[in-house]
Amino acid sequence: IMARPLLLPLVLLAALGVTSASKSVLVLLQNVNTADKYSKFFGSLRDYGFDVSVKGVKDSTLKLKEYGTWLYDDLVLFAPQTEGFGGKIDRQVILDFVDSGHNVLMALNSDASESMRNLAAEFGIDVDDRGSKVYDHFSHATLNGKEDHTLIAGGNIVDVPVMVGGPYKEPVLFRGIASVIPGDAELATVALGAPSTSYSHAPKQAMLEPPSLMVGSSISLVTAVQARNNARVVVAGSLEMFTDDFFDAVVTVNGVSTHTANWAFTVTLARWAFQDRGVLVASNMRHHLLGSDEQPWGYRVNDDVEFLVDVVEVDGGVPKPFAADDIQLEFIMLNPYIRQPLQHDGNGTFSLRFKVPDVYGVFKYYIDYAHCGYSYIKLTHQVPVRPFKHNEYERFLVCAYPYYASAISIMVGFFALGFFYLYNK
Amino acid sequence: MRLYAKLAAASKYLALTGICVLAFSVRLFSIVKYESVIHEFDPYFNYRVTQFLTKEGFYEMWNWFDDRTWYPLGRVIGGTVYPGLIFTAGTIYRILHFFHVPIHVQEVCVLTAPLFSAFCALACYGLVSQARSHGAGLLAAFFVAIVPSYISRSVAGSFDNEGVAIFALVNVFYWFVKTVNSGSLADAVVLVASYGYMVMSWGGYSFIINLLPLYCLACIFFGRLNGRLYVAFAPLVALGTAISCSIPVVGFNAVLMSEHFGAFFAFIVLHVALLVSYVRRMLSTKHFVILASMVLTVAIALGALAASVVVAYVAKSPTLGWTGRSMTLLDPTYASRFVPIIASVSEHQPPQWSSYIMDLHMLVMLAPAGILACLHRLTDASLFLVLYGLTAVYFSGVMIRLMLVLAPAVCCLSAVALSDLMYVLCGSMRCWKPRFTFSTANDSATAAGEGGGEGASKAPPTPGAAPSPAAPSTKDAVAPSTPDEPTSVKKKTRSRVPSKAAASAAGSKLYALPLLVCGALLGMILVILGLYVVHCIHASADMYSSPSIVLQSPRRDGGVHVFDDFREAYAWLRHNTHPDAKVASWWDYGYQTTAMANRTVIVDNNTWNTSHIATVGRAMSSSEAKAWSIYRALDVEYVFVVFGGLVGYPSDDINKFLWMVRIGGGVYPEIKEPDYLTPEGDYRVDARGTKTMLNSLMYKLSYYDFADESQLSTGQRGVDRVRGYLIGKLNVKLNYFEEVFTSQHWMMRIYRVRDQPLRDPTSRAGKKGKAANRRG
Repeated sequence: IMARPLLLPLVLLAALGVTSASKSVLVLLQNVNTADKYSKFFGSLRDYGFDVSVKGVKDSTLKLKEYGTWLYDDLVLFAPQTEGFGGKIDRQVILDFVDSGHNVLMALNSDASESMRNLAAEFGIDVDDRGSKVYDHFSHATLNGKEDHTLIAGGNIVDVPVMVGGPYKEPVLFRGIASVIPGDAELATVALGAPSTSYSHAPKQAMLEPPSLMVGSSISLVTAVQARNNARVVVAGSLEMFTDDFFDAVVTVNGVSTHTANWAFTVTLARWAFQDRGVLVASNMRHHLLGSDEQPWGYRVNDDVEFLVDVVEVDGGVPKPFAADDIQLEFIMLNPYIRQPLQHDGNGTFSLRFKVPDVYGVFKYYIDYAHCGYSYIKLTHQVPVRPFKHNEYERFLVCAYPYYASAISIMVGFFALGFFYLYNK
Repeated sequence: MRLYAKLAAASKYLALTGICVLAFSVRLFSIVKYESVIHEFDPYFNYRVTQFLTKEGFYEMWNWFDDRTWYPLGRVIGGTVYPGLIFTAGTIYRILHFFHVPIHVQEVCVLTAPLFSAFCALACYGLVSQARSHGAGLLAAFFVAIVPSYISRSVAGSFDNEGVAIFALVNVFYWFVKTVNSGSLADAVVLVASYGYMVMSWGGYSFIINLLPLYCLACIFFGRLNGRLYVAFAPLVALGTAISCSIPVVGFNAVLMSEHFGAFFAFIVLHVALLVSYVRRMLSTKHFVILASMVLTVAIALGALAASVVVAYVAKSPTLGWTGRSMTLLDPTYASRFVPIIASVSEHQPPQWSSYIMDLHMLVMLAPAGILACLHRLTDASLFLVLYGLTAVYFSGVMIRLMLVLAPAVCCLSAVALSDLMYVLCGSMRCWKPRFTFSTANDSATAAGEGGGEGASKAPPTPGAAPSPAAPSTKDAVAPSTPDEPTSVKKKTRSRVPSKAAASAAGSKLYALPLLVCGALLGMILVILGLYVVHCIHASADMYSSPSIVLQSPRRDGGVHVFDDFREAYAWLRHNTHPDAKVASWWDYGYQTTAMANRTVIVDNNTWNTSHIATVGRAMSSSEAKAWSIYRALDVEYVFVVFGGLVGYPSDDINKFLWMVRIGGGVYPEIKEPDYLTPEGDYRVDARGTKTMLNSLMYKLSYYDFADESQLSTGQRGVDRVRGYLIGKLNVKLNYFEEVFTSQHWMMRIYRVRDQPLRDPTSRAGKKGKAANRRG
């Protein structure tokens, strides 16, 4: 019974254990000769233990999968303009790659192709029309003395250190295309949001009347998606933000000269995307009656029980105890009868003691932890709660003494009467 | 003479043995024609519990909380099951294994019902021989051994409560009548014990606990009150109620529900009546009248008070303290108005008149004559038979299932009628034979003695009329032979001599029937009995032996085509799904799924929670997306439907669908029955079917991919062979469910509820389809 809920984390843990030594990353560039532009980014990834192989997007030897085995753990798509892929890669292969738990980092720009746009849409991100750019006439940056209204510097970095690092004092430079995520998106997070004064517009196209632009903070510049199988996808609207130029740039924003945070931001985000950060592994789920270490088949109503689970956070391949006070445990039969946060002991063991409700049925323990930036923890474990057995009820109740008395008195009376009737002649 | 008596006794036992063998073997057609399997739906549950009992033991079963049914509510099996049948089969299994008979528990279960129908024949013999004579008893045993109505629920494999409960019912009646006849306390103890077994076996015990008080009141009314009745009835009410209370499924219902109040009322009336007769004997008439008027005044006042309390208690409950099923019996329109879940069961429908002929054959004709015969020479026991017959006729008219209760009554009454007739005919023949050698007066007197003794003589005062009371003289003479004692045969043989003497002394003239008429009538009786046997064998062999999980249809070349789709699909579920997977279906298939597929089900045939069944009905009636979220909320992984459209199997889910809508709509008002009917009020799934109907999950799951398959078999796309027309929407697409298994004849189609998609693509990516296609 335990096996199924534990399977996923275990598989993940195994995967991490095996591959954390060197996770292989395939980078597809528009032109393989431009790899130098991103040398610092790739260098940092290599420093973190990634095995980065760079190839051209039209390379005819490309393949992600061989004999049913994925050759890479992560895919980087730095080829926004490409319409198709070389070799044996196509959109469906990339989707299968993600659906089997692997990660994709894709960067676009204003000339992003239709196929890239569709790929982003598959991950739940709508990218703006081809040719459009994000403009901001207020918080743009001046680079090398050239004022550029499309060089956004006032982006709002999401306050999730595990995903993007920080907090950053310097701005993250961005030049590229806007995207939006649906209002009801559950899986997507805006890692870098546009300033409220920005808008997206394609200068070569006629403005619609009335204008229907992507405006302000509804624009997402960099979007992070964590699929339900914990595969991660990051879609950045700007390819340039990963370049050495932007890493090293000194820009003037509103008259203040500053370095950029691009290097730290992009590398941290890439590590997050490649499941090198923010990975939670829950294991060793167990529960028992208070005063017994054995895990029972089920409980009786009103039993006092304890539930425990170990959660570790894996950072750079190293597990360390996770600490949070917002992991909730639910005890559900149709409705949650118990919903309480788990207590942690500092060593990664989360536990809760509670009294089983006075209702019998097939309950299940349920943890659905979806903290932004961390991988999801979803555990279910079924445990039946039975009513009292026929010999477990209380006996000789005080309030029943009148009934006992009446029953005994009738028996005595019957016996006396019978005796009297039979022998009193 | 003594030799004759011994021979008679021996032949009686021989006949009884033969009847038992007949009762057992006539029910084995299902094994011969099919195989030794458990039949239908409910028996699978009983089988599963019996398996559990034999593996885990008595106390574990008593405490069993089953977490594999009614997910996630679970079911307390020990407290919600009538354990009689299961304990019986478990005990038989234990005994056999104690003697090292290595029989599988399934064979025990398969053969329990035939075994108990043999016992039932014995009990019927006892009942009628108490009420009338051993000859009538033999006839009753013979009738009940092969009566089709009873066969229908007790063929080998039909491991249902009724299999032992009908025996238990007749057994209680036998011991009751025996106690009433003998007044023995020992018999009363056995009576209470057999009543306890009946309560353990079947909910139909409430029939007994209402019939016996009725009989008791009738006895008081007709002035037949005596101590023997008291010995029979009073301990039964007191101890029987105590026993019922200690069976968990009945529990406090035995003192709280209105079904049982009749017994308490009769109990009180019986005591009052006995007290009154006692006081009347003690006092002179004058004093008694004075006392009676005084007591009556006080009693009426007190009685009114008590009655108002009881009425207030009863009126508090919306059903006046009756359970739904009992309300259905008292008011046949109740279920169809208020409890669709009871009305939806086919065996709860009123029977058609033809089923009386089918199930009882000539007994239908004989039973009224039996009632007349019983009333004609009324004894305590025959009064009981009359009351049993009349009440059973009423109940069988309300619910087809209760034909089963009627069957033994009709058999007993018919046996009484037929045996009376035979006595008259045989007596007449015997007095014709010696006519030419002995004097006429003596012979006709013999005939009268025989005929009158059996209560159907053609007495001279009203020649040719219906059976009339025997002449007073013969009646006196035969009086000792009335079955107050169980050994009435011996007495009867002895009483013949005085009856002759008395008859001739009185000089009354009783005419025997002409020999020719006797012969013809006897021949006719034999022919009718033969027809009855032929009919019963036919019914057993051809109609009631189908296990309903395996179907057969004749082929043109004389062979049979076997449809074993259900077991095929259950086996698929058992072998290909996770052991903890939850399977949803309409509740009819719940027991089979848990027993045969060993998977957790959402609802099953124990329809104790209407709202849970309504949830499943709602899911089936809803659109695909909504049904998906309902099933996901219930952790359902597989959904299956039974579909007969390809091979023409009429009792499939599409035909049951309106009940799902009704039951679902009873709890969830968003489901409205008119949405599923055409404007003319027809239920159709063709092009005239409503949009809601054609979009419902039931339609989609039934007809998914059906058009192409039907083209292969009928040559036309989408022709449903049950409904007989073209279905309304040919190309059914499923987005939230995926087909995982369809049995050979498409009778069972299993679908998997798709997981939540791993990713949420935006509408821009939606060209390729919805959530479903994007599973990893």
